Order: sequence, then C-alpha cells, then structure tokens
Amino acid sequence: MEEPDISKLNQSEIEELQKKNCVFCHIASGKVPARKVYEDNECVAVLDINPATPGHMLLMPKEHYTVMFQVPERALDHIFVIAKGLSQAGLKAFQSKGTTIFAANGVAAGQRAPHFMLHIIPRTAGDSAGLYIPSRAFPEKEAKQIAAALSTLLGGKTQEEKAVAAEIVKEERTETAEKPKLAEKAGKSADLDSLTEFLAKGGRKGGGK
Amino acid sequence: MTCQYCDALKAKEWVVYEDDTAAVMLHKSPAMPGHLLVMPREHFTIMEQTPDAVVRKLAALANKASTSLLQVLGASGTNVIIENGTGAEQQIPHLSINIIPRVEGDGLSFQWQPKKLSDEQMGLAELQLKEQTKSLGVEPERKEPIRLDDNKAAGETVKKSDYMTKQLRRVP
Repeated sequence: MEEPDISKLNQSEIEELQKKNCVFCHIASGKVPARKVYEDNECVAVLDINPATPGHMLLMPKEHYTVMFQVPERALDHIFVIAKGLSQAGLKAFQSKGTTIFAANGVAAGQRAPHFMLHIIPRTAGDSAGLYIPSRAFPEKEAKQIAAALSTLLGGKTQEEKAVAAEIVKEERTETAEKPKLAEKAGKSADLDSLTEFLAKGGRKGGGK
Repeated sequence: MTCQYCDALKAKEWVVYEDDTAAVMLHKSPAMPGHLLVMPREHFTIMEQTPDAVVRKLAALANKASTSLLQVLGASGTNVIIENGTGAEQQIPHLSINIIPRVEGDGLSFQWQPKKLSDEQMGLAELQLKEQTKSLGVEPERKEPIRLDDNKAAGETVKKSDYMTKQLRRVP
C-alpha cells in the first residue's frame, strides 16, 4: 500500500511515517501495552515477548532513532548507564551469572524493528541462550590497512600525546594555552561533520556497495 | 595474574584509538575483518564494576567506532555485543564491547532460540525486575548537582582521606 508512496516522499516525510508506524514508539508512549520494568524521561525498558531467557529486556530511547548512529551522544550515554543498572538488576533478580548485551544496527546486522534498542539478557548456567561470536584467522595484511584508516578517522590522543602536541603548537604560535584546545575542538567537530555527511549519503538503504 | 587485554593495551598492539580512559583495538580472533573491541584502559572485569563516567565514555566511543566501520569498510550495519560475565561467554576478564561490521549475506547470524514463557512466568520476571530497578529510577539530572554540593561541603570540612574512610565504613 505504502510502497509507491515512499519513492515520492522526502527524507523527513519517510521518517515521520516510520515514527507513526513504529510499534516501539507506541510501546514507549504507552499506546501499546507492554511489561515495563524501567522508565524515565528519556528511555524505557520492557520485557521482550520472545525472550531468550526469563527477564530478557529491551532498553530503548523514547525518541525514535532507527540505528545507534543517529542517537545523540548524551542520550546514548544515558542508555548505556541505564543498561549497566538493568544488568545489575538482572543479576540480583535472577541470581544470573552474567548478561549478554546486544544491539543490531541495520538489516544486514539482523535488525528487525526500525527503532534502536539494546537487548539485555540475564544469563544463567545452561540456559542455551548464547550468542556465539565465531572467530576467524587474523587477516594481518588487511588488518594493517583497516587499522591505519581507523586510527586516522578516530584520531585518539592520551594526555601525554596531547601535551606534546600542545607544546609544538605553542612554539609555533607563542600564544596562550587556549589555542591548541580550540584547534583540537575544531578537529573533532569536522570529523563528526564528515561522518554525518557520509551517513546522509550512504547511511540509507544499507550503505550501497 | 596478568590480563590479556591490559597487556595488549600496554603493547599498543593493534590499538587504533586510545585516550586516557578508553581504547579501541582490532580483535585478534575476529568474527569479521574489522571486528573491534572498545574497552576501558583501566582493568574492570564487568560493566557493574565500571564507573558511570567510564561507561559513558565507552558508549560514545562504541558509537564512533561503529560509524567509522561503515565508512572504512563500507559495511552496511554493525552488531554491538557485550559478553558481561562468565555466564555470558566472557572469555577474557576485561570489559569489552564487540563491534562487528556486517554486510548482507556475510554468513554471520546472532539469533537466540526464543523461549515460550507463560503469562505467569512473564509476570513474575516483570515483578522481580521492577523490584530491582526501583532505585535505578532516580533521575541522574536531579541527583548530580546535589551530590556535587555535598562533595564540596565535605571537602571543606573533612580531609579527603577521612572522607574516603567514612565512605568505606558505610559499606556493610
């Protein structure tokens, strides 16, 4: 029914449509009943109706985001801190021996509902609910390329390295210590901009390729 | 006892990002090429032991790492998996977030067998969890400023060491 319409809609109209039809938005707002185990202003946790184990929870932001990449940093931080709390709640409630925390971003990753969520699965011995992560041989050559590309993109620095970099900038510009900080900030936001741009281009419909 | 991840962090072995709190490294037994591990620099075994500030940092970094995999590898999705505790197949006792790049038809599948639970069983699980999440309901926004003021007040009158021992005595 909606298929022919979608091609005519623009990005924001499609998002609106998704929100309107999103079961998990309805669960978050209380329109669709669910077994809520936790709720605050930003997120809600409900029991999964097809649980891997008793107490299998779905923790999601109330706001509609399809994948993790779209969730603002502050909201995601909050979700992970709550996930930590829910994991602990699972440990206490079921005397579990651990928690599997799982998220799928994108259809290729096995995502089913277009609303970002964390699965929090309390685990006990012999529950056969394991997500076995297979292991393959380490592709040394390929890994070198990937590592190089990733470290350029992520560009992490420790305090020590920052101090060295700041010294260099200081020498070059003989200005106050404010400068390197500013330069660093600018670098970060540019990085994020390029990421958002990339997502806007290829983030939809499985990234192409 | 040495920790494999602590050693790898020290050796900077396949570390693609590090700051003072957290690091990202390539998994040495990857599910897919580009399989990343996001972990705290300090040794914490499970999430429950990890301070909130560090958890926040890990969350932001996991998201960043996940996004960069799309860019670098042209992946069309990612899985984010934490094996939290030995009961959850955790092999190395150092908290880490697995970020696995995914493409359609890559042969990977993370699916569990759904359990058929009765309404009663579901209801019981709900009650048991709600009991435990009560204290979790405290809004972090409201709590933090109060805490800061408390610390300030305590810092003015009590020496830091005294304050720490006081805190320790509180734990039963």
